[in-house]
Amino acid sequence: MLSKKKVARFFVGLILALISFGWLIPFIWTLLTSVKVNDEIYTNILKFLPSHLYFGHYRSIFTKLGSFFSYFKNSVVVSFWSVLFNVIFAATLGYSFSKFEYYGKKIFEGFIMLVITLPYVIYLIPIYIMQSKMNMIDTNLGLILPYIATNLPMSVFIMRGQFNGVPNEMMEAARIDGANQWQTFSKTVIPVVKSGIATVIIMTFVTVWGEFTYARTLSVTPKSQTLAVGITFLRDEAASWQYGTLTATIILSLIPVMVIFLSMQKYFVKGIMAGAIKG
Amino acid sequence: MKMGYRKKSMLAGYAFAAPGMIFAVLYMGYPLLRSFYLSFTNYNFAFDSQPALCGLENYINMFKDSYFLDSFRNTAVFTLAFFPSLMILSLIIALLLDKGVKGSGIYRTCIFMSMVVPLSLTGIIFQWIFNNQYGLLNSVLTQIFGLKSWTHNWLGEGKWAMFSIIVVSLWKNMGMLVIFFMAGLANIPDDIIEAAKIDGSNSIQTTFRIILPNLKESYIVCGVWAIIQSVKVFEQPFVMTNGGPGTSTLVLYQYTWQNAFKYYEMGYASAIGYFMGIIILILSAINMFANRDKNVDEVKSKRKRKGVVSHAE
Repeated sequence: MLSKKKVARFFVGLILALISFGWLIPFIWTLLTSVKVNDEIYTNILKFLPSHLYFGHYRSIFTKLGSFFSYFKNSVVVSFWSVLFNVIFAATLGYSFSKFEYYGKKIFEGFIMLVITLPYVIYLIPIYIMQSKMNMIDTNLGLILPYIATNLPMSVFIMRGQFNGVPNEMMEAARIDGANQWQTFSKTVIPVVKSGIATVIIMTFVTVWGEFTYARTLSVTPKSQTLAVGITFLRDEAASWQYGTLTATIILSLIPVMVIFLSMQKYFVKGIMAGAIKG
Repeated sequence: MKMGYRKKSMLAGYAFAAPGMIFAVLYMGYPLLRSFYLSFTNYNFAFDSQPALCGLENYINMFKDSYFLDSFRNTAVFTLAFFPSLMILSLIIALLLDKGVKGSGIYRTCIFMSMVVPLSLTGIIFQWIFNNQYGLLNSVLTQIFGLKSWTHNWLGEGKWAMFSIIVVSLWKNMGMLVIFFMAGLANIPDDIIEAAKIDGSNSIQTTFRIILPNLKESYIVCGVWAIIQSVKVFEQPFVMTNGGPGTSTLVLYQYTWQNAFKYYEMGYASAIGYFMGIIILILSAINMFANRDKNVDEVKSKRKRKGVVSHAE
């Protein structure tokens, strides 16, 4: 006889399996659409699987959509520099919040708390005015600089939580051994918070790769547009009847974030969990 | 000359804070004040060379602007439907995942995966699924379930367009809240759950009497996050319906964006932006107040009354 507990666990598993499948449908459908011939995409007779794998849509990205590579390059460049500087600044600022006492610290922390809750369009308006006066609209730099700042609050909270977990004795010991403040930070403390840094890297990368509002506003031509914005323009150009090619571009642009997410999921989940409790 | 250790340590604190704070102040602090000032001015970036102060005019005109009122109503509708369904569904999923049945790791990955898809691309993917003629949803409804009457022009009919946007938002945002709730669940000490089991409570009783009341901190964190996501909904309607049909999915954030970057009315846009910000702060405060920890306060006040000095403080 089956115990009551086993039956309950079976149903929990079944519900979770159904939800997970539901969550995957958009991915599966996008992938399937991208390898179907047009006749099978635009048909009223429902058919899930393609009759044969067709890679013409992927080929047409390479032959027809030159701007796709421009978008891809911009996404890579913008993400790389934003993530790099965001990690450095989040680590130093989080360290300062966690391990030092000074006048104005409470104000700094309160300020970081406040800016994260307000809608980011409030900052975007003056940034747009500022950048158009400085001729920085439509440049990669014009996106990187705001991204470093707007991703800081979240990253700082994660890093501060990490540094709170580092015992002060460790820093004392380094200081007694003759290390100065910078050496203590870079050689003794940073190696302990590696997993926090991994979390910040993934979070910032995923956010910047998918950021839309700032990119849509501060970049206007394919010269500086990122994938998240560029693909919506491809859709408008294709008059929404090119779902084969469109889904193929979506699949290609998802590969980098998917690889990072699937390989570093552990840090992603753990880091956010730690932040959710301490924040 | 030798500086005291305390002073030296303070200097180091400032030095470590400086690079990050400079960036935050330059790209968020200054804009915060600047747009606050702009919200009291008339400033069309395309025509005016300088903003001209106009007092509260923008804030008053807002409530005479039918587009603003529409977008305010739509944001409210979205929030009222999205906020509770997001909170309840993600709490249920977190509770199920917390049971640790076989395969939970894979289920987790599936549910978290949608988090990394850029919102604008999510919009395009769902636009295709909701497509009136060739979309997956309508085909499945008619050809598998035989429910022809259930099919809709999902993004073309006002009410259903909002419904579709809510579905997309749930798909995209659920993962984050599930992680937040899982953190809260992991933080509940095992011994109180064990104690309840020994006292003979079944798992439903344990869930309702022990686990849910002990998630207060999670309700605050999740609540604030869900409020921000609700009030500042933008990309989904912008990409999928562009506010249409008519103004049925025009939300506050998009109306702000349109005013600022389509009509270049920077003053008016800043005012609407601040209006949104105030709403978020008010809702967050209500959420914090509703979930304040009453028990702890009672214990603390009792201690104070008895004159017991707690060691923790």
